[in-house]
Amino acid sequence: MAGFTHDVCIIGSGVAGALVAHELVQRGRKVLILDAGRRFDPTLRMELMERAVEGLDPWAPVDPDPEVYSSTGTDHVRLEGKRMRAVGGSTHHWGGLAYRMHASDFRLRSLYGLGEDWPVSYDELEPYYARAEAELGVSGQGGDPHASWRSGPFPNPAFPFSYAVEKVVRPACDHLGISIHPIPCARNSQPYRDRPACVAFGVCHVCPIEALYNADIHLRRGVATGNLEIRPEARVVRLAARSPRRVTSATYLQPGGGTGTVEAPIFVLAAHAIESIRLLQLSASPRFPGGLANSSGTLGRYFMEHWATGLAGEVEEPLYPHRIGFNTAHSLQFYDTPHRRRIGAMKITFSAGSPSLSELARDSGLWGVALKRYLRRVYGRWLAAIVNVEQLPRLESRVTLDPELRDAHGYAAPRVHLELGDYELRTLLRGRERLLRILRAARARIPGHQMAKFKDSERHPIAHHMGGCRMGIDPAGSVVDPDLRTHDLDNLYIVGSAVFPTGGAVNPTLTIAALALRAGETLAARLEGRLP
Amino acid sequence: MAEAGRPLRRRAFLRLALVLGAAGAAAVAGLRLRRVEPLAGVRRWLAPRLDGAAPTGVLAADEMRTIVALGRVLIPDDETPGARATWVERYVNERTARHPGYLPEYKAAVALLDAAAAQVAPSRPRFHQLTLEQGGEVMEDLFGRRGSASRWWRRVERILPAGQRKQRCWSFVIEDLLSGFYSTPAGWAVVGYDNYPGVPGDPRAYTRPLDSQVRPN
Repeated sequence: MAGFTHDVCIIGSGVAGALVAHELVQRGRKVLILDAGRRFDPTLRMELMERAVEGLDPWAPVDPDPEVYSSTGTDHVRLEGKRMRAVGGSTHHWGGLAYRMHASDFRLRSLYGLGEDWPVSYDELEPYYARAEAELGVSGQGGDPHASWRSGPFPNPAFPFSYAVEKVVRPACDHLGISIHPIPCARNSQPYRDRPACVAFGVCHVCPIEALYNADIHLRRGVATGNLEIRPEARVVRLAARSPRRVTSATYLQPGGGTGTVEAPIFVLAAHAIESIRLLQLSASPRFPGGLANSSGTLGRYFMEHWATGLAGEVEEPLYPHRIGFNTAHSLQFYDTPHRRRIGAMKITFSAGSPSLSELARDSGLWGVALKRYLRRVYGRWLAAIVNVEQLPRLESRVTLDPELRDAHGYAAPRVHLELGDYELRTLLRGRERLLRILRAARARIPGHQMAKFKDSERHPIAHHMGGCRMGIDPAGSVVDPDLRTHDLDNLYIVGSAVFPTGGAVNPTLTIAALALRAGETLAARLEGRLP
Repeated sequence: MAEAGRPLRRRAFLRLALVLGAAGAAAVAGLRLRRVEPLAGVRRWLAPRLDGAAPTGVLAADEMRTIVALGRVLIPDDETPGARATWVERYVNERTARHPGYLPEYKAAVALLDAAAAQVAPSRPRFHQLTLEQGGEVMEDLFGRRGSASRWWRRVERILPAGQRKQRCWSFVIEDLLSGFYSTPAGWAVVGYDNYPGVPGDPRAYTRPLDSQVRPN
């Protein structure tokens, strides 16, 4: 584009940024990606795996900076180790679960009077879900009656159920009339697009052979076209909008000190939900006192998480867990029920790998030879069931700038305020009741401290951060339009889970990917003059 | 309770008891219905927390000797190898250097263990100077009631000032070492996973029992 080195500047190189870039560079557009994290050599993956098996944080050499944030509300988020500042983003250490959201998640207000409707429907997004599955190489099996419709098969066949699922979970669920299905995952069950098949190293958070998808795969392809430039360790701290409706430049910190500035005709913000919100807030100015793209006053609001709780019980026969690093079966039977108005969506998964050897050791109260004997006796005889539940978007659940806390560079840290209500607590309770029925049908002996969870309402945030820049048609109630362009600034787009109006109960990555492909396509059409 | 200085009559007392009882039952039912956890806040308040503002760094060599000795007591050799000094040093150095809050906890653990060692064996006043058996005695003195899995005792211990140092040592040092070791190949070997983690040879091997799994050479 005349006067600019690049057509588009993308901030953030996780799956969202990488796929938008992919769409553009394949069409000959020049793209620059600025990422706060480091670039690392993929050949180091085996070394990182060795760190993981030594009990060390495998990604510490890649993302050494501690998380700085505060958390308030009914429940606290935990960000330590949950996000990754690196070229490729959090896909380096994700679990690979690649779910489509349910069609009802897009129409929660129309169907149940809850939350908000998306301005795009599942039917409109379905072709992009299919493309996202193809890009990521998702393995799965169609025909799940409790999942949304799909236009074609998965690119790769599903992984078979694990020994534990076949041995105890399937018979128990059959007995209860609960249908289970293979989990869709972005992990090759067969060689696919220059990536090898999974050979079950068992250390999925550092897949040493890239059978598990990570966004660096698309970034490397993009760089190979000659149209993509990546600037690592370039943390953007401010977007300047010197005209009423346009972002004019991005200012970033340079690794050696000082700042750099990039001007581009179009900016795409793809910096993880919390960081995207934070950057817009840090970019406040006299013209935009509440932060950029915040004329609605909703920037940072309607923030959501997914909440999980689990139950574990001891079974009679050994289940030989931990020979792969991922779970193989889920049930979506209770995702969208006639009671959705009162009981939220839930996804149930099963694991023979929980508690792990580490957890058993930690929780036993034992040490020495007695601990070793205990582990030999009980390890591998545990079956766990986990339920993930949705959180409704609430005005008061929000990300703001902490008034006091500063990061290492002196910029205001994010403060995350989350409010859970009766809806989520009821759903968690119902979910646990279902887990209890399944475990009892599997003849698992559930110890007292596990049963105590029913009284404690125990729950954990699972680092699926969504909302805060929500998508909508009405500029008075949303930050971006259905094309993910901000209502306020004509050349600023936001991709990633920050734009989700609701979150459902399934892992958000595939929806992030589908939306990113759609946004990339729209952007390319605009750049080619095919769209206004 | 008396009314205007007069003794409470039996009927008034029964009425009052009934009202109070009903109010209490309603309150409890209300809390249960709303899933309110009256003690959750207290529990959260009592739970030990790391000091996120504490400086990071590594232990002095002398301090590390105590932690290595602790590792030997926690994870001794038996039919499978226990924690080796090289692993303990690498693991703990990384933990205290990278994660704010752990360095003071490890230093406090050294002080606690050395003080306890001086009581068990006055001639060998440092924990790392003790024999394995004596180290076990120190652990038994400090944490012996944990093995009985008395959850009530753990709860009581948390609120006693004298127990808080032990609680922190257990939560942030002992559990950390156990958790770290039992993530390593040496830890997995304890339960017979001599091949963990690694290629099972056949990618579908996880669908079969371990004893029929095809293993690589």
